[in-house]
Parts: sequence; structure tokens; C-alpha cells
Amino acid sequence: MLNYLVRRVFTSILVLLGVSMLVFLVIHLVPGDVTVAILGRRATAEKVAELREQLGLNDPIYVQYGHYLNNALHGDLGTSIRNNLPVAKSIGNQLPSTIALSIAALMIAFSTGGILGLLAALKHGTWIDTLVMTLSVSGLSIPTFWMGLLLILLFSVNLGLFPSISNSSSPTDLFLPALALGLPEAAVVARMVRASMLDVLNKEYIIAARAKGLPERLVILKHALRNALIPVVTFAGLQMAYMLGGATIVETMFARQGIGRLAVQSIFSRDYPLVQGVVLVTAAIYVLVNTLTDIAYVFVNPKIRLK
Amino acid sequence: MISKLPPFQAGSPTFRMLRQITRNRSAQFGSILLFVLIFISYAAPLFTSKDPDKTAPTLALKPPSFEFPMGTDGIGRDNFTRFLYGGQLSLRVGLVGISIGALIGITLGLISGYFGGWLDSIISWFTDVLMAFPDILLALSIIAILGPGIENAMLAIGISFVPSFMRLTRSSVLSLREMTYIEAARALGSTDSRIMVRHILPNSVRTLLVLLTLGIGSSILAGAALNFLGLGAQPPTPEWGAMLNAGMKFVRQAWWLTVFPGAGIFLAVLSINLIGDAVSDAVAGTTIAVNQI
Repeated sequence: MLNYLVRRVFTSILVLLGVSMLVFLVIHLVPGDVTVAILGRRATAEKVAELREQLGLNDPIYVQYGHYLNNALHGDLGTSIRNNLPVAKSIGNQLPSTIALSIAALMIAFSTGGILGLLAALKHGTWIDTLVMTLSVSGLSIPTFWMGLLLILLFSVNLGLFPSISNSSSPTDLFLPALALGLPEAAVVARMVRASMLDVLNKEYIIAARAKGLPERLVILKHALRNALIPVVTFAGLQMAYMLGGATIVETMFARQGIGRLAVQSIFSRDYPLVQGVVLVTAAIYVLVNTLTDIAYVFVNPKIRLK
Repeated sequence: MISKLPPFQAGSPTFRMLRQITRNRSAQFGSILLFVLIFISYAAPLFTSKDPDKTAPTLALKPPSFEFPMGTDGIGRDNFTRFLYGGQLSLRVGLVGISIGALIGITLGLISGYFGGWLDSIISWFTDVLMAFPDILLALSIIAILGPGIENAMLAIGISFVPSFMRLTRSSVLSLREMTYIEAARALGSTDSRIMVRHILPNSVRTLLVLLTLGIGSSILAGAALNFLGLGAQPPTPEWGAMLNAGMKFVRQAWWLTVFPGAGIFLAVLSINLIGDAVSDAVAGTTIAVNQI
């Protein structure tokens, strides 16, 4: 097992190194001269020279990458070209808002999806199963922003219950954005729980538990559900990552603070250090969460742990 | 050696698979829906005589009526006409995006799985790195490099599909590589590229088919998302995601500007997901059947 853990952590470090290289290259892959892309064609030679110096473009490329990596490891992600604030600080300011949104959405996805998936599996083949599967395939096909829009039209424009602009992380402000982000994911969770539960319900130990006369409630809760949830829980890591990406749309839609909206805004303003910072931080969080999930899986699943 | 059955002969696995797909109720519904959407967008002039870009400020923000079935937008353009023409681009983004992803991903997967060794290590590492960018973040990063625009959006979506195709092809190649018929082909003196294209690829198609169909849906969704963020089609080009974005300004006055384009995206993706689910069931069914022979 130790062997596996070491190998898993080592792969993650290699991937993170690759991520840092790709993110570093963003500024060098811009077609034409990056300073022209940022400052426009009318910039004076002095301004251009100043920017080249600020971005460190005058050094050989491997020296630049060395600097970039060294600084990033020390928490320095460069300085924004547009407002001269440290990128790490801007991200640090926006990150809590995105995390609050992701956690709220994750809770909605797992509670709604979990209950619906369980119902569908227990009532396999009935109209309830069909209904849940129909809802699920619709949920998978709904664009996040259309979901958000329908929620705004219903809860904000027609009923006036929740604000369509989300400024804080209070429950009322979080409700609509979290629903928009969480419900399409609930569709995925419902499918997984249903498939996993159906799989477990056909196992011999369930037949054995029933044969020895256990009440059905105990069979489901103690024997079936606990085993069925293992693959679902490990999926939570990936879900979290999807939330970080999906946040770009939901945050833009609800004019909500967060690193997703920061990413979109920085692309429009061609603020490359900020784009690089947001992408690097998000990808690093994703790799970290994934590695931790894989490691947690080893501990949760006795079949692997005891090997 | 089993003699090769022509692909569409009754009783061949491909025929059985196609029959299972065409007999699936959801797939039938999905196909009809998809056909209708493709037809109304590409045959738009049959349904409307208006110009999608013609503005008429005096007719701005009119609710749906007989003359304007989906109302008009902020500068008086007919929303129905823009909806029809907008479908062309939204559907095309899906198809082009997935094609780019499949072409690059399958090629990399074939090379990686067939040759193995350091080449495999490098390609696998590279796709792992690409996969570290969650959801549309990879597409966003590519747009950040190339700049906003519809062609760049298609390319960005394509590249973000490369890792899935590469991984699936690679694992399929790994399982086929040691088969006796591949050994036989090699003994007969076939070149590596011939073995990959003529023997391994056709036998991987079944598994790739599921990703290809469901991928079109995800690709349409991703394209609409980029367009919604304003990073794809630029005004005045009609496109469902971009139309929805423009309609957000009038969300309180004119629901028709956002509800219809959103419904277009939803129905397009739904139709493909319904077909994709049937394909997925059929592929699982036939692989079992083939293994039992």
C-alpha cells in the first residue's frame, strides 16, 4: 500500500510540473508579439520595453520558467498588468466566495441526487424509476446558464423570493447560484447511486442478509447503501473539480465574486499574469483534491487496504 | 479464423447493434428531435423570409405574436429568425469540436498504445496534464491564448476532448495488441501503420462510438457556454449561447430572448444524449454477445 501511495503522489507532482509548464507557456504561445496584444499597436517603444521587463521576457526561456516556478512555489504569482495588484492577493480575495458556492452546490447535488438515485434503485422498473431517469437525462442536457436563467425567471422575477444578483455568501444569496450549479450535477449523482445500488442489491451478501431474516430497512441501510456509496463518495472529488469550472458561468451569470468570473474578466482584459494565476491555482486545487480522493479511497475500501 | 462478415449483413454484430439502437424508443425520439432541429436550422429560409441581422428599433422588445413567433430583441430583430439561423452555428460547433478532439485523441491513443515505451509515457503524461484543467477551464485557457472568436472556440473545445479520446483508444489498443490476428498480420509483413489503421482501429470503433455520440452533446454544451461568456461568436452572428447572453440584459422585460435559445441548446443536447444512451446500451450488449461466440 505504501508503494501505491508513493507512486500516486509522485505522479501528481509530475502532473503539477506539467501544468506549471503549460500555464507558463500561455504568454509565449500568444500569436504575434504578446506586448502588442496587451498594449495595442499604438504603444510607444518605451512602454513596450517596460512591459517586456516587467514580464521578464528578455531572459532566455528556461531562465524565465525557472523564475516562474520558483516564484509560484513561494506564493508569488506575478503582478496584474491592469491594476498592478499581486495576482496571488486578487485570487486569495476571490477564492472563499467560489469555495462557498462549490460546497453549497455539492451539498445540493449529493442530497438531491442521492435520494433520487436511491429511490430509483429501490423502485427499480416502476414509474418512479422511469421518472428519475427522465429527470436525470434532462438534467444532463441542461446548460448551466439556462438552468440559472430559468431559476432567476421563476424565483427572482416572478416570485421575488431570491435576488438575481449574488453579492455575499448568505443563504439567500447563495441559494440560486448553488441550485444552478448543483442540480445538473445531481443528475449525474442520481445515475451513479442508482447504478451502484442496483449492482450491490444483486450481491450474494444481500441475499444472505435477507435470508437470515434481517428487516428490509437494515438490509438497505446497513448492508447495501454503505457499500453502494463507496464509488459515489470517491466521485465527490471529481464533482468538486467540475464545480470550479462551472463556477465561471454561474458567477458571471449572477454577477457574483469569485475566481471563475475573475478568469473570464482577465481573458477579456488580456491580463495574462492574472489568467495564468487563476488557471494554475484551479488546476493545482483539482490535482490536489484528486490525489487526496484516491488516497482516501484506499483507506475507505478494505478490499484494497488489506492487500 | 472466423471469416469476416460484411458489416451490414443480417446477423453480423454491427447489424445487431444497429437494430438494437433503431428499436430503442428513446433513441427514436432523440433522432426525430435531432432531425427536426437540424432541418429547421439549415432550411431556415423555408420557415422565415426575414433577415436575421435586420434591425428595426421601433419594433424592439415585442412579445411573441403571430408576426414574431418568438418576439423581437433589443434592437428589433426577429427572434424566431435568429433562433433558426443560430441553430446552424450551435450544432456545427458541437460537430467540429468533437471531430477535432477525436482526430487528435485517437491518433495519439493509437501511437501511445501500439508503440508503448517512452513514447507512451510522454503522451500519457501530456494527457494527464491536460486533464488537470477542470471542465471548460482548458478551453478558456486556449481562448486566452488565441483570443475570442468562433473558430478559436471550436479548436479550444476540440483540444479539451483530446484526453478522453486518447485514453479510451489507448486502453482499447492495449487489449487488442496481443490478439492472434494482429500477430498474424505482423507475420504476414504488414507495416505498423497498416496494422493500426486496418486492424486495430476498426475493432476499437465500437467503444469509441459511445464517446463520439455523447461527446457531441458535451461539445454543443461547451460551445454554448463559451458563446454565452462572449468568447465565441461575436455580434451580430446569431448563435444560441450568444443570444442568451445578449438576452440576459432584458431578463426582467423580455423572457422570450433567453428562454427560446436556451431551449434550443437543451433540446439539441437532450436528443443526442437519448441516442447516446441507446448506443451505449447496444455496445455493451453486443460486446457481451461477441465474447460469447
